[in-house]
Amino acid sequence: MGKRILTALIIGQTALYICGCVPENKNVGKTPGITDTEIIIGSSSALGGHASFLGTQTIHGSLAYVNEINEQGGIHGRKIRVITYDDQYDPPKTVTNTQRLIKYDKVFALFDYVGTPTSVKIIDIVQEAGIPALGFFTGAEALRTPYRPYMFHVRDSYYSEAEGSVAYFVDMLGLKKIAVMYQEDDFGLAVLTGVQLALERRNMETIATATYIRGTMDVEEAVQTIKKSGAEAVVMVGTYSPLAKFIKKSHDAGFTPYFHTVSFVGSEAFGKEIVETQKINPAQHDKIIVTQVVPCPFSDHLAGVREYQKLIKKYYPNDKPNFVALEGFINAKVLVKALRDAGRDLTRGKFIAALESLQNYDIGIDKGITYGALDHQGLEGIYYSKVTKQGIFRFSGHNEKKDIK
Amino acid sequence: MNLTFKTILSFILIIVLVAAANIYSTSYVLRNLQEERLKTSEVLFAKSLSKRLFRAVIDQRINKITDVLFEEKGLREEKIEYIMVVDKKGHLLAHTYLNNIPGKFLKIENAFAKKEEYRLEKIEDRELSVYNIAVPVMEGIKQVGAIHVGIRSDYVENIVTPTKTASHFSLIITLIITLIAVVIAIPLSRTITNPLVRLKNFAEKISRGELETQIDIKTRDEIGDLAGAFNKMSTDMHKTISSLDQEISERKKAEDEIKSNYQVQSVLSKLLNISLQEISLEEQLKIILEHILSISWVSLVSKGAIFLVEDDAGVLVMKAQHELAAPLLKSCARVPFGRCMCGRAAASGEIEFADRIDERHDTRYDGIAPHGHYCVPIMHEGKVLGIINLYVKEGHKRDQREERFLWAVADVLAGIIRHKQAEKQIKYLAYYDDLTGLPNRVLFKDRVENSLKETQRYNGLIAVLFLDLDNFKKINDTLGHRMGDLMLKEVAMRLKTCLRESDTIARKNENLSESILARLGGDEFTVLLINIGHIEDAAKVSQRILEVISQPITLDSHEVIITASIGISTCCIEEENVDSLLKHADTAMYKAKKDGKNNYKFFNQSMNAAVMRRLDLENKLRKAYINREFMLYYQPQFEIVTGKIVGMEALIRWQHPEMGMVPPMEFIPLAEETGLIVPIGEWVLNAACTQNKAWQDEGYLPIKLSVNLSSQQFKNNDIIKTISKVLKDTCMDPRYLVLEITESIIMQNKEKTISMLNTLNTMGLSLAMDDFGTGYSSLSYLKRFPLDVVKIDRSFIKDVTGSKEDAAIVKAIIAMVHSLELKVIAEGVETEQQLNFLLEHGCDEVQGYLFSRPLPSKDVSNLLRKGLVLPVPR
Repeated sequence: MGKRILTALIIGQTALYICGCVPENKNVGKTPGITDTEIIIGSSSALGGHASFLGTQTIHGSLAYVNEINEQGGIHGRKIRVITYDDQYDPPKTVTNTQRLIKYDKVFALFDYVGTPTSVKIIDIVQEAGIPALGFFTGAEALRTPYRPYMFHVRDSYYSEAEGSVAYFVDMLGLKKIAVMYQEDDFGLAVLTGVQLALERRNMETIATATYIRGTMDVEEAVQTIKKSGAEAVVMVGTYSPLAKFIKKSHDAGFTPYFHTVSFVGSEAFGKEIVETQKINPAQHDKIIVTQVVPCPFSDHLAGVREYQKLIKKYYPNDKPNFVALEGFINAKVLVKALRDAGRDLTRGKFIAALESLQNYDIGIDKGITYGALDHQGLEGIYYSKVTKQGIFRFSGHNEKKDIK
Repeated sequence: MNLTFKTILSFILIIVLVAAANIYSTSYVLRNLQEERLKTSEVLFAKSLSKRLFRAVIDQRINKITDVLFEEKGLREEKIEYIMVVDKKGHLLAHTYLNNIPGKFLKIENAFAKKEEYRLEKIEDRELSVYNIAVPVMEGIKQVGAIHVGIRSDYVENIVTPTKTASHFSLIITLIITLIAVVIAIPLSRTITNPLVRLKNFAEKISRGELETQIDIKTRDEIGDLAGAFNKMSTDMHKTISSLDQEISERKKAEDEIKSNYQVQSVLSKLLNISLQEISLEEQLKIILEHILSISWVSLVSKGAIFLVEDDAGVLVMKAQHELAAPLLKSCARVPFGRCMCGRAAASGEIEFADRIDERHDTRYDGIAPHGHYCVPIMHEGKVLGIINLYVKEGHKRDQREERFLWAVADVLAGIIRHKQAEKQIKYLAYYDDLTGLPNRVLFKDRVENSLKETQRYNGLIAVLFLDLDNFKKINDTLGHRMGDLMLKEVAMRLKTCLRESDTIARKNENLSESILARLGGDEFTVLLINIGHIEDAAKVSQRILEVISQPITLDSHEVIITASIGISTCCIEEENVDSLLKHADTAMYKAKKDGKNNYKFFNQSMNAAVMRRLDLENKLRKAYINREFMLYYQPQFEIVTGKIVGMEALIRWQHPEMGMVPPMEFIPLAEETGLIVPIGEWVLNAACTQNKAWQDEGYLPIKLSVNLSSQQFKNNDIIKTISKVLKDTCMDPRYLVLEITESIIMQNKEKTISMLNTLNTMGLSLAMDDFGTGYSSLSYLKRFPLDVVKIDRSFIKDVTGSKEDAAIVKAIIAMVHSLELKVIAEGVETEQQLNFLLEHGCDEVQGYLFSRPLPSKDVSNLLRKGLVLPVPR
């Protein structure tokens, strides 16, 4: 029924265009994605395929908040509609989806993109279209440096996570031999570079590096290379299955260093893989660290997290609280705040201005969001988490961002 | 250098420059083009290869690398000579040579600087020549190897060959053009220069005045045109010069006329200009008069005056004059119409002219110099506004041109005067009430605003009284509006008089300095009291106003009694701005009405009460003086060494029949403010002296009696008279009278006070400085005053044993005063420790509760009888 009305509307609209008598609405209509009743936002992410958990959870987190806002009457009389496309974590598909969102769906802004190789492919498109893009589920430096005037980041960068892990291993534990095992692509190299820079600041170098091919589980050779180096800690970059296997194989080879990976891994899936699939010895759990860019989603002492838990339960009763969805939820809070601040006469310029003037905007997680004219990094500082017997990551502290530039 | 040569030389120069620029830019572009082409294609290729192979390089997977290298080279056979991959130590991992590598290629540098993306160099060998592109192989930020790609030189140079040929070609063309240009330039420049030389010669002829000659150049170009123009010019000049002489004489005549007209116009416009200046009419008239007198072509002596008709018609009042004889300034200050030349001109409305002193000169004086006059009436719509009186030399002929000019000046003046009068009228209407002539609301608010600012700056006090007549409407209704208006005028008059009185009184005691009265409309009047000392003053003024208004008013044989209600608001106790001041005064006025009319109320309730209390106290104080409710207590002063009573301080007490004993702290300030202190002070002096004399008569050892003087008493010059009168009346020996004065008295008016103190000193009485140490006193002051005793303030004595600072101060005072050979007395001595301290440091006398509190006179008699010495063992 809804679909039919929509179709009728589209046909009607097209007819009007042909007649050349489109009803002009001066304020609305000039800005893409803004109608009298709606703000249309576009998103392309991995809703299917091997990384689908990341895409769907990000979107669920965001929609939980957006739905609540819409239910309360929207923003200045408009409801937010998010158009989501599945790119299966495949960069060419991300490009096609983005072009479609900008050109055909005429969305107001881009939102909730997931992944490094996917996101870097749309940098030029965003720049050329002059479309605001907010909330990337990646910490890739390429999206941050050089300065990207239309891109706004909520979560902190991989460089920060790499710095965090090096700080943990070197400064806190006093380890000297750090190795990197990474997925041989832009994502892997991004984190690797972060680790190299962090070590360089301490006049150190990686003791060894090893790779595996994206989409494969071939980590045995990497285990051999790293083990040979005698590394005391291994920073791993990749997806949860091969990483969990890497840990298992290392243990099998009698090699038990500290392991670390970045937030992108998807902590829940990784935990499940470690506990259930690979059945890693629980005695070793303490030596598996994941850096996080959002606080613990199970915590009950942060107002923002409680709000997230409440709304997820309301709109996605089957979902369990997780890091990814919490990040999506936070993204949506920033989106809604800026849309609201920009006022009823919404334009992309005003939206960007509203974002850039956010000063320590309280999202209820003890840290505020602050942007500036030349600073599009919202949250700063990372959290450390460790695996538990249930496979869920628990918190062991957090690290404020140091000056790493 | 001649023109031909210059032309050719510049031709060649330009062409050579163009050629040089061409060649340079071509070769520059060429070089850049090569590198750009290599960068876009081959460097990118090398980079992508590096990215593809970085892991294989790290892992030394030579087979894989070799495979890739051959595959890639195969695809680019025509341009790529070789591809080599080295590891991070510079060891060769793989290459595409089939046999050995020529030694030269093994020496290529492999290390890269940070952020260096590629390196391009040309390498030449016997057999081959290549461009070597080297790129680093990176893992993150770490270099793990390098890739070298050799591009064949012939391929690189082929990319740009066509361009190179083109550049050679353009060089040849440039040379050819140069040659042709030189060949053309020689005859071309000749055809231009030859006629130019002839034209030059012709122009020289014209300049010598040979105007009949012509030049013969008939070419159809610019030079031909120029020659034609030269010919025409010489003919025209010939014609023109002959007609010119005639014209000049005609022009001169017209010019004179114009000049005089222009002068008239410029004078008038100057006058108008003066009228625009923001100065008073009188000043304008003065400037205008001087201006008229300074015009050279009108035959005037530099003397004259301007008169204006003021309110009472028929009299001219002198408003401006220039160098008039002194007697005239007085005798001609006001000239009635018909008198003198000016009066006559005013009466007739026509210019009066005289060429000598004749019968029309009604005002004569000694030493009058021979002269004549123009008296020009200033007219507006048939009415005379004034007269311009100008002096001319005796025997001057009346001149029409001058008269025309003077009429014009008078017209302009009329305009200026009318404008000024209108301005004044408008101002008046805007700021004053038409009926009573009092300031209206606008002006009143403005004044309030101004004084508010002043008040806030100086922390003063102002009050606004809002007065409304009671039942005025009834009078208006029963007696008619005319009567109502008369009534308002009368009320305004009374208020004015009343305020003038209180202002004068106020000025005397410096409490009130000024007041402003206004009518807001209807029967509402407001009064602004500026810089009042106390809110009671506002109450007093209000009370006085109520009394004045309630006197019967006779209106056209009706006797009417009217009352008013007044509301008072003040600043800056509670109000901060004009509107709230007015509003609150208005509100208070309604309260007064509600309270039964014919009274006044403060806006602030507590103020009402406080004012009432104070006014009540003031009344009681007045009564106390009349009813002799005051009495004196005496506190003995002891010589510290002997312990003997050497003096008394007389202290006033007020015994009120209902309130009981009123402390001096409560009523002395009030007495000072109200001026009551003067009579009370006189009473004190009298009573003290009488008492002291009585003790002496009773046979006690004579002692000194100290009396405090207030600053109010010193403001009044009568104090000396008063004291001598008291001394005379009581037959007191002045040696036994000590006057205690405070530092503040001296600081008020140093010179005057010093002279008064000197007078008192010569009369034989002693002077004591009271409360010493609390004011500005310094040694230099003490030296200048004829003092005998210095009294250390009780506040220092209080802590003298507890506070080191106070002890130091007291010690210093004693030492200082002794150095001036004066006596020191300490008051407020209450403990033995204090006494011991003072004794130890040489204080002369003491006074305080430790020895005796202030006592009534009969107790003092007992004390004196006992001849009490210090009751403290020492």
